[in-house]
Amino acid sequence: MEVTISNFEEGLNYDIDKEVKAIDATKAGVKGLVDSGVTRIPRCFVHPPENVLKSSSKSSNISHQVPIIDFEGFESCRRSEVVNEIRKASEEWGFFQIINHGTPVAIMDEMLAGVKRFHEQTQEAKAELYSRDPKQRVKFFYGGVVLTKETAVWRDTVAINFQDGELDPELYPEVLRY
Amino acid sequence: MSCREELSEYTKHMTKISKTLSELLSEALGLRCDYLSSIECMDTQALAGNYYPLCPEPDLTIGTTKHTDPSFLTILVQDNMGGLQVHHQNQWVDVPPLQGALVVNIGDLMQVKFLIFSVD
Repeated sequence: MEVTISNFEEGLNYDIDKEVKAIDATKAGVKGLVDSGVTRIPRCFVHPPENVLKSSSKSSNISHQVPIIDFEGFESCRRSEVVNEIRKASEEWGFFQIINHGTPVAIMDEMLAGVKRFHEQTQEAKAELYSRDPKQRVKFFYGGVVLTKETAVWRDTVAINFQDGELDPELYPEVLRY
Repeated sequence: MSCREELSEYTKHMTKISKTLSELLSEALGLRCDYLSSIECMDTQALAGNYYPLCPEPDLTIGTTKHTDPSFLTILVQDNMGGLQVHHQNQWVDVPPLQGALVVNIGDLMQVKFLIFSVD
């Protein structure tokens, strides 16, 4: 696998789509590349430097901190307060964090653990779900939505589409079970 | 409990939260609380579980590029690694991992709604 990919990389007639498809064909995603021991990343993942800048701002200025909205009492005494905070955050940021929203931390942690388990299972176990077909409702793929000539991102995704209504839980990936 | 049930449990909670958010957002827009659900904003759902493998050349690539979400609403459970940033007033601001918190991103479709309803 690695040999094929580095051949593309060195070629003068580099074709990003060909490389993206070659990695698709492994059905192992970015995790598969890493597990195969690559020390250099394939060219299809290389972004222009200005897009990779990891400029982080740890601003102490309160107006530059992502709003945190406390949902405690949103169904009773704090309703209008919560609505006002949501309006302000939506207008100014389009983005906020919510706390005391009623979803138990355990449920969220188990979901994160399930996703990690999915991606860290054997390649063989994941391969059967590998797909970019928009119609496939439970699938696994790498690189984000890779359009023609689009640079891939360093990421694997497991996706479940509920678009056409309820999905039979029997169709959920096995590994998302305990 | 099997994790199939855990996943069902998770989606059940996310459906409930999205219903709550659609009510609160409707009210924030000065509309009756069932407005956004009545125009079927929250009817279609998708779940994505992203995984970012350790990268041998992290300075050359990125796990998620600058983007907006083409949805009404995205609800994110962030792990404790951090790395998520939001663009605000011409600068990238870290979204610090906060245990138990859900990150809410108003998607493109809802942004349009806010524009329409907040003209005057």
